[in-house]
Amino acid sequence: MTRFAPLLQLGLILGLLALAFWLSADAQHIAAGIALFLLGMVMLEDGFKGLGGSVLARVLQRATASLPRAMGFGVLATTITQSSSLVSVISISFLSAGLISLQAGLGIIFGANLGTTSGAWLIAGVGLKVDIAAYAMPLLAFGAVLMFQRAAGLRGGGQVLIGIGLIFLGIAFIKAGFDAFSAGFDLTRLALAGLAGLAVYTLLGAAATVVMQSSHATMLLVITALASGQISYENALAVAIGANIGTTVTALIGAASANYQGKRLALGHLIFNLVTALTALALITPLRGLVDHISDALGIGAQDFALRLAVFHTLFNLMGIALMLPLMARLVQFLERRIAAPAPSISQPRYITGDLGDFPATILAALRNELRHLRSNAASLICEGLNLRLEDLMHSKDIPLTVARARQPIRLDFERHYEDKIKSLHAAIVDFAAQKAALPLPVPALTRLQELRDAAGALVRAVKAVKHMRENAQRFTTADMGEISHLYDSLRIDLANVLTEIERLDGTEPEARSGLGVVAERRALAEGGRRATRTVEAALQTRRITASDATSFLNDSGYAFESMRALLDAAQLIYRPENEAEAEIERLLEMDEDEEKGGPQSEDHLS
Amino acid sequence: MAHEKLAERLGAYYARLGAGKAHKIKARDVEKVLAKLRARRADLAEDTPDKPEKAARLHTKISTADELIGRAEWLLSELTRMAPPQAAPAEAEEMPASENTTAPSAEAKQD
Repeated sequence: MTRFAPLLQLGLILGLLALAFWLSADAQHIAAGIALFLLGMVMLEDGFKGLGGSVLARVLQRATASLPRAMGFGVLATTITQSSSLVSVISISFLSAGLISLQAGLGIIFGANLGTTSGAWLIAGVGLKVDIAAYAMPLLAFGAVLMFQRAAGLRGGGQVLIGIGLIFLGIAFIKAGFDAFSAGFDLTRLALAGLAGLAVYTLLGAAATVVMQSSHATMLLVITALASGQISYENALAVAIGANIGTTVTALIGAASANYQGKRLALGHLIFNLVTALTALALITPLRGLVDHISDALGIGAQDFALRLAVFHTLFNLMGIALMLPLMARLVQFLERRIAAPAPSISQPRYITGDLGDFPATILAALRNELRHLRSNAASLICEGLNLRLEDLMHSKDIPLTVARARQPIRLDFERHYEDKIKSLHAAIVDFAAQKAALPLPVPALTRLQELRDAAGALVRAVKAVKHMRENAQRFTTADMGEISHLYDSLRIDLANVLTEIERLDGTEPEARSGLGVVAERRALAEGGRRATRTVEAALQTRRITASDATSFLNDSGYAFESMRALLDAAQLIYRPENEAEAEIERLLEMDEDEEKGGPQSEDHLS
Repeated sequence: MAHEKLAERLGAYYARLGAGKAHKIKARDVEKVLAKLRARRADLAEDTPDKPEKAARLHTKISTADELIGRAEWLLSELTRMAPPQAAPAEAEEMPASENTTAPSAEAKQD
């Protein structure tokens, strides 16, 4: 039955529209106006995504340091874009990617609710008072020219202009439709007074917003109807409250494919809007009185009900914020308890889960965090494969001594751990990168996506190389067997140095981090390899090791240095600066293999 | 030529920038990278190795850091050289557009 519900809903809407068109030709004007308005909203949202989606995302990252800043961002971004849905979607994807806190996400949503009231002011204050259609025409023409340009920014700008043009045209159509409609019909006969009116029109407002997926469209409709005298002021107030409830359905639908954080934010949005709406309904009489006082103080005419409705819309959303702000900490606690985070698993992806949207900033941040997760798993497994503990190395003041003391065998099924901790995560990363590479992302973002996928491959190579040398490492490092044990310890020390160096890089603040430090490590490594070969030759010449042990060591030395190189390659890619220009500079400055070989030779090597 | 490969890479970068496939680099971005490289070099110089092997390793790292700093300084000088000249507003208005942009595709910008 539920399978057919959307079809039944669609049939009902189309049937009602056909009936309305049959009853009144003016209804066609109004419906066409709503259609143009909704199309305009879609164009505006897409345009802002193309024009400044990534800018908006970058600003959002910085604007969430405190709750007031997060709320301010919500107000401002929604006022500029006139799309609380766009701001909600970006917030959900940022929260899902772990870039902002739940409290900051809720702050943005609270702010967006207030920002969305600017639409009512624009419609009531400007849209109905000037010949808005006259402005629509040049906007559509300029927008169309820009929309067919190659540059993404110009295309986005064109979509924004067309979006505004369509919205203006839609408002003009609806206004004309209601003006003509008023001549033949009087819908105020359907007005309901008292509690029944409050309940029925609140539900109507919510239903209209769910159907049109836009509280702006509902507000436009009710303000225009109010200005044409087709709805009573009292019932219009109830519709505005209903629109606030209806808008949360859009957020809930959007969160269905999000991870647990996105679901928490959507539930928080629903609670906030429900509490606001219920309080507004309970306090409708004093609120109405307050609106009259404020409107009189602002010089809004006694009969200008459209502007008074805008005052009411702003006032009750402000009241909701005032009510919920002191309860923010409790709301966060409730949401975290109600929608629990899944138990952390080192073998499951943590960041590239759920719907992260198509914003480059969130996609790359989630992937970078997942790479750090894979790198951490790889570092632990490499250490254990060589009878070392990463935490011991990290706390060590003398790594050679820590390594020399690590003689206790660490028993583990390396193959199974590789499958669980490395391979499954690598597969998830490759799949995620492939899915996102199919999106129309900017070229620098695609380059970064490819780099991070390559980093995952390098980490897998690093672990596999250690797998090959594990057997001999077990044999020669679990007891002191003289020179050969010292040689294997030297490999373990080199690997430990590389791993701790990368851990240090991981702990550095992103602003101070540079992947170029890895170049020096890699060059020092090449010399270490040459030194190891000379040492084993000397040991063989003086019969301190057997020829068989020497060949084992030379083979394993190759694996160890392959692992170290792969770890450094991965680190260089993972820890590239987040700033795109700085990342581009690092790509220019880094050295290829020939340049690294042709660099300065140490005194040790020359001797 | 001291930085032949780097110069080649810079040429390829300008081609990508012209095609809208790269992010535009400004001199202040290079200065930021240079500051990080110099800070890293200072950290390395503070290290006092107790064994000859460590000293050799450190020597290599410091030499590489110096080389990277040299490359970054060269890049900075190239970007400064190719940047549009800082003319007074009145002069800039009179200057033909073609003369005002010496860097290949310097206007191209990818978001």
